Amino acid sequence: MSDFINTAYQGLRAALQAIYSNAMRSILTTLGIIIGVTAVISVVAVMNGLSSNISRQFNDLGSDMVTLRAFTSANQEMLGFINKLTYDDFLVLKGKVKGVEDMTVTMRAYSLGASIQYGRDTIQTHILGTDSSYQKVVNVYPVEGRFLSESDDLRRRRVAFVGSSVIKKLNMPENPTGEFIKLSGDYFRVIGVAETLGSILGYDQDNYIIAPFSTIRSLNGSQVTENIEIMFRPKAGIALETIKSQMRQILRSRYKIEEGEEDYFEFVTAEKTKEQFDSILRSVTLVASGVVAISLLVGGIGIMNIMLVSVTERTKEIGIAKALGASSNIILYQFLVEALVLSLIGGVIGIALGYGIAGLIILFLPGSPDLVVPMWAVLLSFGFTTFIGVVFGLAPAIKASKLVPVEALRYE
Amino acid sequence: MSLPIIQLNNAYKRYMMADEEFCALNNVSLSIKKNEYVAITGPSGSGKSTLMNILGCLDTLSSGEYILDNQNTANMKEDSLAKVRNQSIGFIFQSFNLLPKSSVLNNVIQPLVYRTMSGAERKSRALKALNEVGLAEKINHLPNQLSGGQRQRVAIARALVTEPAILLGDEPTGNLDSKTTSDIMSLFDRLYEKGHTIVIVTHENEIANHCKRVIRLVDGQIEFDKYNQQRISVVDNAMEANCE
Repeated sequence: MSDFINTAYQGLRAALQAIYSNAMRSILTTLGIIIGVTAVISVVAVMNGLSSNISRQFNDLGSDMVTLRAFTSANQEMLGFINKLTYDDFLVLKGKVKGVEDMTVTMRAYSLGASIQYGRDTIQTHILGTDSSYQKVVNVYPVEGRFLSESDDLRRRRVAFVGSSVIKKLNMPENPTGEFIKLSGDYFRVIGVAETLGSILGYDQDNYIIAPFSTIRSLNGSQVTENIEIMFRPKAGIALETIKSQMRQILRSRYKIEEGEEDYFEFVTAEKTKEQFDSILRSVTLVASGVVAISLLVGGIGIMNIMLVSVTERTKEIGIAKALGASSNIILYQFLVEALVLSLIGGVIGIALGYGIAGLIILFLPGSPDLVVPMWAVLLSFGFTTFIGVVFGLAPAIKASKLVPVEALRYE
Repeated sequence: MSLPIIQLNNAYKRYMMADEEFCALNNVSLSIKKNEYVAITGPSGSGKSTLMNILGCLDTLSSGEYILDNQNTANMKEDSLAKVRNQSIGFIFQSFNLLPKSSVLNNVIQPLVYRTMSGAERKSRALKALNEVGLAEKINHLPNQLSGGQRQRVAIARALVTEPAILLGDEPTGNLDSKTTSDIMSLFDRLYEKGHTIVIVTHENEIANHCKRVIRLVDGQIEFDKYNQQRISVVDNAMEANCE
């Protein structure tokens, strides 16, 4: 037993000594592994950051929020139909459907264009008309001022609740409540500013203006047939399906949609949108993983090459060791440990570098997500480097251990 | 009286060279006792290096028997041979064969690494051996910071450190000038006087005649095996050379 411990200890010592006294070669050997592991860790961390960023933003939106909007099938579109939902539909649904916690209506300000003006600055933005319950359904909170009230809607007040990007882009004062912005010739008083949401994949979520539904509706006037979207949230414990089927029944009968014909409307859940984002992210991750796997493999082959060269280069040294009484096992063990230690060192440096690089990249990501490297990625890259160390170290190690001492000594 | 340390009986070593069998050792029998001072000599191709490799357990016989220090090495596997080399043989090579990146001390410690003992004992043994060859002050030097003679003395210390049954020198002075040669040979003399068994392979008659017993090989066979009545001192010759 103590023989075994001695062999293990001496093998480790010899391996460490060899790594240390060939520092340059050791660094070059581990370079492949370092790059590979760094890539794995940083790609995984960045993808993870992106994905958790998106999840969080969707959770803010409220994952149980459902949007009901008009849907025109490709067939109908070819025939020139465009389906629309009206404010009357909303009123009917609001009055009849049971199990809904909050329901709100939104409408885009089609006729007004999308440009707004403050002082000399003009920007493009989304203009949305809605009522006071929008706040509860969509979870918008003011950081300054207040959200729309019921009376704003009733009295068609020209007031606006604005996203934080609008304030910045228009160079408005930090607390802009009470300021006036110009919307196609009409002045709107700013009553509140929404908290910043950040952007999803480059889409600025804070560039919008919300005005009372009735105001936008009247400004839209009769130029465009109204097309609204309805947003709602089911009551706790009520299945979404039961609400959907009530709505479907009401709307189908209102529009006299025949049996077998497609709905003129669709339900969009945040969950569904999130799934789409996630699936995009997953495929990006998959492609990135492929690239990373190749770099790890190349790193492994690098280790094997260097180890093979190292065996050849040290043939004489192996001959001397054998002449002095080193057994084949000790030589095998030494070279194996050397490969293993090199790849583990590479792995550790790679993980550290990966964390660093991911941390840097994440600084520039929207919404500044936390740096999270899942345990599986760390274990995977560690396991993989160990595996590479053993597999790619084995062939040269066996070659070294099988050298005949006389021939090894003769080698120059 | 004393049992032989080396006993070689009807030793053959054959190689295949280009489809032809070549007999490097052809029925060689010899016996060397404890505390002998032997030179194995002969022209190149005579089989002396082969004999050296056999005696050093670096190679095995095609047929015959080799008993070293009461161990029959005929059917030993490589790992057992490695153990025998470590326990019973101290090698001294022509080209020193030191590890270039290890210090003098670590070079001398190396054979002890394959034995189970404490680090402190390894070090004290190595220091003792280095003291014996007069290199105690150079323990932290690297081989390339030493002269040829000093390197060979490190190699001798490395051979001594395991307290082997025999010291095997393969042309130990082949790479040295005459002054250093005489230094090294007088070191061998001192070791012989202390009771070591020394076998030196050499093609130089001067060195051979300096030893107490000369075995001359020609074509894989022993031409003669004689004891020198009058030993020629390499030391004196070198002195003369220096005076001229």
